[in-house]
Amino acid sequence: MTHGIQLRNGSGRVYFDTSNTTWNFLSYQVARAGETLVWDVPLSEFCNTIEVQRSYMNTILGDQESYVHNVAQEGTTFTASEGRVDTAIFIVGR
Amino acid sequence: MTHGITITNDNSHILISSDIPSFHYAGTATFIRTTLTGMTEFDGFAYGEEGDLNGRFVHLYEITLRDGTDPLVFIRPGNNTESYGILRKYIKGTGVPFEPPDPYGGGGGGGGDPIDPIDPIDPEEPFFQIEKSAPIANSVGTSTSESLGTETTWEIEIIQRGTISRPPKNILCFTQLFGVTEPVEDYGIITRLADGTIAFDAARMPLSLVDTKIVKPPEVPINGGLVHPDIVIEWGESNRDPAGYLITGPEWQREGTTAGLYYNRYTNGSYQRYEISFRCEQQEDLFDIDAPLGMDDIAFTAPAIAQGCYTYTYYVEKESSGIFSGTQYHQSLSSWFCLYHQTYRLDGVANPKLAAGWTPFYGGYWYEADWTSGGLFGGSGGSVVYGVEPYKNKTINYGNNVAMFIDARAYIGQEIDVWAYS
Repeated sequence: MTHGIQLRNGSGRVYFDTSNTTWNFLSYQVARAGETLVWDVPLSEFCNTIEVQRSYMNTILGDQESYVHNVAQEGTTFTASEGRVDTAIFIVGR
Repeated sequence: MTHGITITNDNSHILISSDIPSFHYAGTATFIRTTLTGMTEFDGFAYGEEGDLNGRFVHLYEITLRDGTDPLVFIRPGNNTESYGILRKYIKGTGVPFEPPDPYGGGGGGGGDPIDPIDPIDPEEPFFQIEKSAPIANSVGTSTSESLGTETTWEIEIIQRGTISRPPKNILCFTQLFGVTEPVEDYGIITRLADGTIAFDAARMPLSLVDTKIVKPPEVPINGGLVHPDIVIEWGESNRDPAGYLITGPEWQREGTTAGLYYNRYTNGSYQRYEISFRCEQQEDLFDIDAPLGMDDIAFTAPAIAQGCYTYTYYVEKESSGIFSGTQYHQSLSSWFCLYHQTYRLDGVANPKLAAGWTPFYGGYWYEADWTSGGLFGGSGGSVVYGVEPYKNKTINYGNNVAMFIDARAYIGQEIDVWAYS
C-alpha cells in the first residue's frame, strides 16, 4: 500500500486496510410486516454502487408466504414495500 | 458533510465517513441449542427409504447488546460441505418459534372433511414490531450503570443443510454504537456524528467488508430439473392410491402398520415403490470471493430467506359399477411438497468461492380422496383426507440478494466491550 490507512488491533494485526476494505455500511433499517418504509440515505449520492441485503427478522410465517420487502432506490431515497414479514435491510455502498 | 472526514480508495469507493455510524465488533454469539432437526423425509408420509430430502438443522445462538442496537451476523462455517444461512433474529422472548403444521391433522378415517388450509397471518397484524428511532423496551432488559440504555439479548437462528449437525464454528456479531460518546482507548481514529456520537472508532474494531457479492442460487432447487407438474393418471392403469382407501384388492399392499408406507404389487410379484426425491445438494451456483483469504479465514453474512415451494402431484380417477347398482366416481390426489430456503457454503481451497444453493425448510405429504354414491344397491359416497394441505407451487423471494465477507481472523479472540469507556 503506497497510500491510504491501515488499522491494527491490540496485537498489531492489521484488520482494516483501505486497499482490502471494499465496501462501506450505509444504512440499516427494519421494515415492518405489511407496511411501507421510506427513508433517506444521503451518503448513497456519493457511491458508485449500492447493494441491499434483505433478511428475516422476528417472525417466519407458518405457511410459505414469508415474502420479504422489496427495496427500491430513487436518488437518495429508499422505499421498502410489499413485505409480509418484518425485514431487516442492510445497505452497503462504495 | 460540512466537516469531518471521508476516506476513499483508488476507485473513489467510500470506505470511511464521519457521516454514518459504522458497525463495530460486538463479539461472538453463544451457541444455545439446536432447535429444529429432520427434513430427511416427508412429514406424514413414512416413505421408509432415506434420501428423499437433504435434511436441515436450525441452531440457536444468543448475544447481548445495548441500547436497542441490532446485531449484524456473520457465519464462520462449521464445515464446508454443508451450507448455512441466517434464518432470522429476534429479541429473546419475542420471537415466535416456527412450528411445522401437524402432518396428521387431517386424520385417516373415512367420510372426513378436508382440513382447513394453514391460516396465513394477517400482514396488518405483525406479531412484533420494532422501533429503530428509540431504544427498545423489552422484557429481558436490565439497566446498566452507564447511560447506555438497557441490555437486550438477541436470539439468532442459523439454518444448516445436511443430516449431521454441524453448527458454525463462530457467529460473529457487529453493532452500531448508538449513544456512545467516549473512546474505549486513547489511541486510533474516531469519527463522530453531528451530535457527538461516535460513528467510527478504530479501537472498537469497526466492520471491514473485504467483498460483497450479489448472489442468486439456481431457480430450481431440485436435482434433475423441474418437478413434475400435476399428473393425471387413469386409475386402472397405475392404481396410484397411496392410502389404499378406494381399492382394497390384492394389488395393493400396506407395508407394516405405519401409515403412509405403501407400494404397488404387480400380479407377477414385483413391486413398484414410490420414488419421490426432493434432494438439492448439487443445485448450486458459484460466486468468486475477491479477497486474499483462505477457506478458514472467511466469515459471511447471507440471509436464508424462503425461495419457493415445489410439489409432486398425482391425481387418479376411475368409474366403477356393479350389477343392479349405479356408477360410482372415484378420485384421489396425492401430493408431496417441499419449501426451500437459500443457504450458502464455501467451496474451493486456493480460490474460495461462495456456493449459493438451497436447504429444505419444511416438507409434507397430502392425500385426499372422495367417491360418489352408487345409488340403490351401490356403495355410499364418502371422502378421506390425510396429511397437511400442500403448499402451492411458486417461487418466493427468488432474486438477487447480497452476501458479504469479512476476514474472521481479524476479530476472533479480540473480544472487547464496544460500549465500555476508557
